[in-house]
Amino acid sequence: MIAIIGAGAAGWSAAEALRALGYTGKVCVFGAEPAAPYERPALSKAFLRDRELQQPPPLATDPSLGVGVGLELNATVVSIDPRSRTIATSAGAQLGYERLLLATGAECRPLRIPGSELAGIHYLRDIRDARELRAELGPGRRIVIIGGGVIGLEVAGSARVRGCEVTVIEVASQLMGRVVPPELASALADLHRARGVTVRTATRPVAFDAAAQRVAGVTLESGEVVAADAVVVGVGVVPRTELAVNAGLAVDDGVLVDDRFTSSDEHILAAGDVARVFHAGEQRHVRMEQWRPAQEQGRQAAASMIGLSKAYRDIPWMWSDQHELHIQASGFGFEDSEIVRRGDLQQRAGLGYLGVRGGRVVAACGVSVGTGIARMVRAAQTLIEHGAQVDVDALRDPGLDLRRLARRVAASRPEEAVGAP
Amino acid sequence: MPWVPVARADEIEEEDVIEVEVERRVLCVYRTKDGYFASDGICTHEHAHLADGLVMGNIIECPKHQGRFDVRDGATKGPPASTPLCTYPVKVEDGTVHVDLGDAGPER
Repeated sequence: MIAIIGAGAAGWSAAEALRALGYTGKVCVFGAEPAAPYERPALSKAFLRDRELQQPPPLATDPSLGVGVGLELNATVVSIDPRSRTIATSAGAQLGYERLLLATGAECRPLRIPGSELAGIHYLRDIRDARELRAELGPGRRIVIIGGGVIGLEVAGSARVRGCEVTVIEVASQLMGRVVPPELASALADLHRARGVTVRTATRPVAFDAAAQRVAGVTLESGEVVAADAVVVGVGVVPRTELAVNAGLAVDDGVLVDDRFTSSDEHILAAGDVARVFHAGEQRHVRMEQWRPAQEQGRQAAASMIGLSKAYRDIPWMWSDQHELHIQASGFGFEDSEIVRRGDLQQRAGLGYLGVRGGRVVAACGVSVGTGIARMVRAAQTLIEHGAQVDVDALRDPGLDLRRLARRVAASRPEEAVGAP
Repeated sequence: MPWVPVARADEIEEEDVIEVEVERRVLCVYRTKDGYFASDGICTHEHAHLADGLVMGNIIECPKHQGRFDVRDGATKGPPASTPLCTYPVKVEDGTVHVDLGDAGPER
């Protein structure tokens, strides 16, 4: 049996991939939630905005692929014994495996300040969290969001759609600090403000205030209190590595796996948010928290389990929907890069930024109304993938067709220099 | 429905796509090394204009979530796409691309 622990993006796509690749042996997926696999990204967007939506969309690309995959819901795997190659479930079952995939994902990093146990303080990770938060939203409700990252800002947009008064509190000096350069972060802050969100950066929450056992406000380090009917905390996630640690696997901010997703135990693999995978392009371990990479890692881990693997070298890509704004980013960040700005938000193609380091595009991100920004970010993703040499001045030229450049790069050898058009 | 002219053949680059509107339907017209193809212009997964997406060989990748479809028959080729894309017959005559919507239903 191939056992897959976790029925999220990585786990379920691994199960489907095993079937798509022709594997006919037994596959069993263990999901801790009661719900069948679903599209988690919808929880902070469509699911919060639309009270009528019963379930987020199912996570199944081809129903025929799920046939014959054992799916155990509400099933917690409590331990792994790598020596006997068995797992134990909370229901008391002992099951043997030939290969095991850890796809346990990540959980919300808790904010531990006085009052953090109060009712009305929400985190957002699964359907139950989303249902509870959704019930808090409504016209005039004062929602304070702690954390100006992707989740916090998506919730801010959704809460505004539901008529809430929204305040975002971010400790760092800019929003979405890990994803976008300061200039775009500043533009995004203005865009949120223009849509009625109070954005406060460089401000630390130090305590939750209570009224009748329920959160009533957030005290900032200045002593100021921001009144709240409910609070949402989105301050990052931590990988769920407890099973791996207890099984004696190598773990360091995620289960350490090689570029074929194999852990320190050759029969155990890991993929998705829980895995820190050796990236063949970057030549270092990286842990990603985005949905598309999780799916793709699951797929490639499945291939690896049946001997069809290739070294992992995908470039991370993500999107975010905030109000009517569509944001995309790709690459490993803008650190130490020269930043090229292209376009503006008045155009359909949107406002984008490219990060160039050592003559190569290393990061891209941008925002548009509608999906216009995809044209730039996707083209940049191809340039990043191929490590193409680029001319920074050419990238600054508004007349440069990035997609044409990317097509030419993709058609040529990866390391070949590509000059101006 | 008869053949409808939708674009000049030379206004689409190879490995590219344009969006056209026919009878209030949004369509994509693709040009790949295998010829010209046409499909519905909106992704079957979530509302997104596919013409903002990238054409790679005979694959169109949705700009919103990077789901993939084969432009020749609409088959899904990558998650999160799960429902095939509706495709239409195409012919090129006198440098003009024509699409036959057949008895396709009303705009979705």
